[in-house]
Amino acid sequence: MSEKMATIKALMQANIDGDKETFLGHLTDDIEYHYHVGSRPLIGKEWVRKFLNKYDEICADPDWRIDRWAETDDCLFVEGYEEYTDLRTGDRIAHPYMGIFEFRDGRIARWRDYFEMDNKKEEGAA
Amino acid sequence: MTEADDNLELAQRFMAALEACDVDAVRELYAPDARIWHNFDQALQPVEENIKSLQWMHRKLSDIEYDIVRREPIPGGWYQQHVLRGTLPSGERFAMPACAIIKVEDGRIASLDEYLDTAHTKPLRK
Repeated sequence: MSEKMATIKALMQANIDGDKETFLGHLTDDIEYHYHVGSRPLIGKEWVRKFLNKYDEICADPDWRIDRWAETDDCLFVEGYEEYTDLRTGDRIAHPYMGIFEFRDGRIARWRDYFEMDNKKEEGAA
Repeated sequence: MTEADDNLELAQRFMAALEACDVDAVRELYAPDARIWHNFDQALQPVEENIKSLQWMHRKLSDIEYDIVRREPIPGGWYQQHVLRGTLPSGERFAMPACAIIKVEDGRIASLDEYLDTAHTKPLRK
C-alpha cells in the first residue's frame, strides 16, 4: 500500500473511532476541504473540526469505503461509496463518490469530494 | 510519445469534440462498446445514448466549454476535474463542476466514469 493510501486508510479509521485529533493530524494546517464540490470549501483545521462536530450531530452509522484508486506524485484519486443515516429525517443516504486528495509533506492539503448530495437510499438497494 | 502523452493528446481531442458537438469525432474516439457511467443514476450508458445527451446539452446551452481544473495521466487513461460552462437561453451563465476517470484501450476510450451533482443541472431542466 502506498503512503498516500495508508494515510487515507488511517484517516478513515480515525473517523470510525471518532478520533478527531488523529483525523485532523492527517491534514495540513491550511487544508482546503471541498466536502461537496460546488459548495463553499472549508479552509483550515478549525473549520474542518466544526464540520466534523456537525457531522456527528447529523450522521449516524456511517459506511465509508474505497473501491478503486490511482495516484500520481502528489495526488490520490479514489472512487468509493458512502452511506449514513441522516438523524434529522431518519433517511438512509447513500451515494457513490469520487475523492481527490492533494498531499504536501505527507499530509492532505486539498481534498475535493464529488457526489450527488440529495440521495436517499432506495429500499432493497445494496 | 509515451502512453501517457498519447492519452493526454486523446483527452484534448475528446474535449474539443464534445465542445464542438462533433458527433462523428466523438463516436470515433469511443470504442464501440465503451462503458459510460454516471454517479447519479449508476447506470451504464451506451455510446449512442451518450451522444444523444451531448446533443441535448448543446440544445440547452450555447458557448459550451470544458474548463479543465486539473488533468493527470493515470495508468491506462487519465483523470480530470473540470467545470462545464455555457450560456443558458436566458443569457445567464451556467457552470457545473464534475470529475471523470477515463480508461483507454487500443487508442480509444473504453470507459468513462463521471461524478457530478445533478443539483447543478437544474437550470438546464427549466
